[in-house]
Amino acid sequence: MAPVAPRSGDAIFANVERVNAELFTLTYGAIVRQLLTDLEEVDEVNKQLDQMGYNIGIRLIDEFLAKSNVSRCVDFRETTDVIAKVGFKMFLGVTASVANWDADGTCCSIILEDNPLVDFVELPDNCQGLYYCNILSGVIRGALEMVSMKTEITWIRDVLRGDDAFELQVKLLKQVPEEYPYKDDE
Amino acid sequence: MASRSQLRLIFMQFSSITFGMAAIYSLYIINKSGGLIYYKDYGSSGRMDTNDSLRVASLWHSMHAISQQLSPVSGCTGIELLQADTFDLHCFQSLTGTKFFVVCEPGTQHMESLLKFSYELYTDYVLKNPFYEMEMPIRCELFDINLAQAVQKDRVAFLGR
Repeated sequence: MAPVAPRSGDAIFANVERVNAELFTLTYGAIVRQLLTDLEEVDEVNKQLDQMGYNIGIRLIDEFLAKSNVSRCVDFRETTDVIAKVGFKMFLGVTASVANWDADGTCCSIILEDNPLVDFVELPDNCQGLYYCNILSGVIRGALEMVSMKTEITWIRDVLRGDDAFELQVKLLKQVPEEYPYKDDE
Repeated sequence: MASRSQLRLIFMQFSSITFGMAAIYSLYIINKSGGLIYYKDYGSSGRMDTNDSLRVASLWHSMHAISQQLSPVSGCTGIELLQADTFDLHCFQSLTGTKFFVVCEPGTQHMESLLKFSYELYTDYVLKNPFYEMEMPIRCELFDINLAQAVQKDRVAFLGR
């Protein structure tokens, strides 16, 4: 069978089932609010959101692969490009851009101008340490781990903290080889 | 007129024979560590008990891995089709390492599409089920139902794809 051509983010987005954006935004807001009430500490909430994102990411990657028809990426540059152009479009309905590559191609930034998660959000003074969208970094980390890439993801810019865009720094820590750990008999 | 409708009748008989023949025996899903997480029989022949199905799954997992090592071509992703006298085995491995394979009558068409579609059903009805635990045996009724429909419908739906 001839390989199926990868689909563009827009084409997938047009075909998958969607929910009302406001319902999505408000639901996410309610979750974050509840976590703040339950855990009280902003740092704990950041951690919890990241963990929740991770749990989503390790499942979501398969849906992404099944529905986007993307094949194995040749390098980390292509991977981040696919996340920004296809992944974000497919699941959030927005496109991100990739910038600020370091010299050896293992660290870059995904920049999100438009983010439906924060449509109505204003951070109060007592939540200044909160990374409101920390679930996103968890999702990316979880998804990449399932395709054998260990990454570290940190927020560089955050609109809720007065920056002009969202910027996620994605750092490739190591690529776990996919081969089985065969040991030839000595 | 008569001859034309006769011809159509013959064609219909012919097509029902050829498509009717294309039986799917069973479908397996193996997780990335080689454990059988789903096995379903479709049809009366080639049925297997639990032990045999587990054995087939772990054997296939190993053979698939060995084939990658044996292949003279670099970047080999493992066996996709095994043809035997009495059955064909089509295998699809996702980039996350989950393997889907189907055992069917020799010459059955469109099995790649069926496996690809099973993968989509798996992402929808298994992975999105909040009570499904990753890498564990799949017990999701919605998945069973949708997969059974796909297997039944494959003659019709996948021919047009």
